[in-house]
Amino acid sequence: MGNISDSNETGMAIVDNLPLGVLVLSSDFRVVYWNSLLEEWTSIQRHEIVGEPLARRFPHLSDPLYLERIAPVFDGGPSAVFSSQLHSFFIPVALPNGEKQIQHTTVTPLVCREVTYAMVSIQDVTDLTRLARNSRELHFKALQEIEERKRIEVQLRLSSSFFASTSEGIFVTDANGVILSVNPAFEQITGFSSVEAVGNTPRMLNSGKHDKAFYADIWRSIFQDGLWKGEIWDKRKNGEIYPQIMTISAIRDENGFIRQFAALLSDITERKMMEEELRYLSMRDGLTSLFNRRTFDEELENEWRRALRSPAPFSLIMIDIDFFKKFNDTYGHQNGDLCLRGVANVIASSARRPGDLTARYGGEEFAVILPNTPAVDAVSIAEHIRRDVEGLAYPHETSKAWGVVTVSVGVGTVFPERGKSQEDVVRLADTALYTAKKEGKNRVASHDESVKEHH
Amino acid sequence: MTIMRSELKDAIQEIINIGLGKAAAMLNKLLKNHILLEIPQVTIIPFSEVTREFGLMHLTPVSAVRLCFKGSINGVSSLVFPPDSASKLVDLLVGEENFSEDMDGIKIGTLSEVGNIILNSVMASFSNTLETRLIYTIPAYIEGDISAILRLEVERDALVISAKTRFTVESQEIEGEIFLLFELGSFDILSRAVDAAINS
Repeated sequence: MGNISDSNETGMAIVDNLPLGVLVLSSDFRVVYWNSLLEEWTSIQRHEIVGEPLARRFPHLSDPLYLERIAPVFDGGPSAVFSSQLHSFFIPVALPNGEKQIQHTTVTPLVCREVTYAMVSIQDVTDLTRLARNSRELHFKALQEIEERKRIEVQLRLSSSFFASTSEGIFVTDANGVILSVNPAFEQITGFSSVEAVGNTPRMLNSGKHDKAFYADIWRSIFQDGLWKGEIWDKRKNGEIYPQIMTISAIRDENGFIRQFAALLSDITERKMMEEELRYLSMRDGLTSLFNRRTFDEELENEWRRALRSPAPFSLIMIDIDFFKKFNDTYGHQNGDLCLRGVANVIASSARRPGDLTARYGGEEFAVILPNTPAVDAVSIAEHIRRDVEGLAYPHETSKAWGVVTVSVGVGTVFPERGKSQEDVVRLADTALYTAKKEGKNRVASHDESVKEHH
Repeated sequence: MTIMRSELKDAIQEIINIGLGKAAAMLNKLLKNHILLEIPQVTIIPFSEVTREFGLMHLTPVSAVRLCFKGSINGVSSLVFPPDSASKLVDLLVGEENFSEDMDGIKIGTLSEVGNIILNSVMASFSNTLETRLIYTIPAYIEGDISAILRLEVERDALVISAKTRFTVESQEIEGEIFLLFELGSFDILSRAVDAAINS
């Protein structure tokens, strides 16, 4: 048995120099040869293992899975292959990195002087396996990338159909704010065509209605939160200024750098108009279109507060239609309403300065707030109203004195200061109105408290 | 000769069955799956008609492990899979993701070993019964046309013995064929085979 190594010096030298781990087994599974590469791999020297049963050092090899496949080789059967996939570690060899060498092992019959041995040649396929694994990973990654691209394409197709069909205007700019693309809704809202917009900056839409701080705030929240949403006034190509809700978001790349900005805009002109309309309606009296009582109370308070900051005589006119109940009884409610409207028109045209406010105070009672107006001017306005109402010449049979619709007017004037309130001026005007009624109607009475203290 | 032939067929059928039984047991362990084996079909036909034996299989590419043997009998044994079965088998054994189509090292290594286990077992049974010593090539993995796998250096009209067995890995829908093809050797060897079969 031992002479297998001596029998052919050249043959052994060849086997020793092969890049394969080679061992030879006798039919009793003892080692009869152990080449130098195996010595290197296992640190087991040839003289230490030759003559020993292989399974003493490598117990896993006594498993029938190995034995039953190697045994036929001694009877001249075909070679047995232990692939690196199913039996990776025939002779376990630890690598410096702590992993085990991956091996592909072939057991072939070796006939020497009519005795059959089994030659085990072990190929180190660690690198090959790693290469194969890497290339498979690359392949897998490439497949993943293709998948990802397909996904993005689908998304792009979806978003481009949204882009084209949505009623919201969209524009996309590069990191410098130069417009890259706009959608049809943008063209419709702004009046600028895609050709005109692309290459330009959104400053082309600047309405001039907002100051620098407003735009600085927008940029701050885009950089901080990645998003800004709010109401902004822009200018259409035709110069028209319009309100819109705008959402601007920063599109960052995978490294967090801003690559693009996308803005969504919806024209809210109509909504604004509706809001304005509703607000107007809520403040007005339905019949006369003068301000209603609630607005009168609010505005009187506001004007009073304003007047306190820059004191000047503050006047209030109270107007009441004379014998209005009788007018209604005689001519009916419909004519009563027409009469109220006519008087209201006269009152509305009497007070035209900003800050002046005309309101329907009660049933047939009206009021005019006149901030910064001395009594003499207020009385003059009041007199105009009285005269103009009489001039309407609405017939009123039951108004014995005049035969036409007339009004009594009370004017109150105070000097706004601490310790007084807007109620004082209401009280004064009320009292003056009472005086005018008592003194025969169709006249103006005035109570001026602004003079007593201040002149 | 007709009687001889039918006896020969029976003998060969049994020899192969014994070898396959052992191989199936080993594969069972390896796959942890039950393997079903059909009874081998044995025919004696001219070599030129062999491809027809494979029916539709000769129209599609196959994955195969091929082991040639020489000696008193010359022949080839082979384990043949349709490609998808080959991939499924590798997945089952190695637990890799499906990397199918290409001739991957993993596939080759794994199928070579599976083929080796089965074919060695069949051949051991074969040569033991015939009491003849055969010389084998190292098993080779081949992908392609079935005719490349059945290549044998004999005359086209020479009679050959063809034995094939279908096997399936239960529950995994993996199927394949084990194929043994060898030339009718001397009458001497054949009678020995028959004797062996009758005496066993």
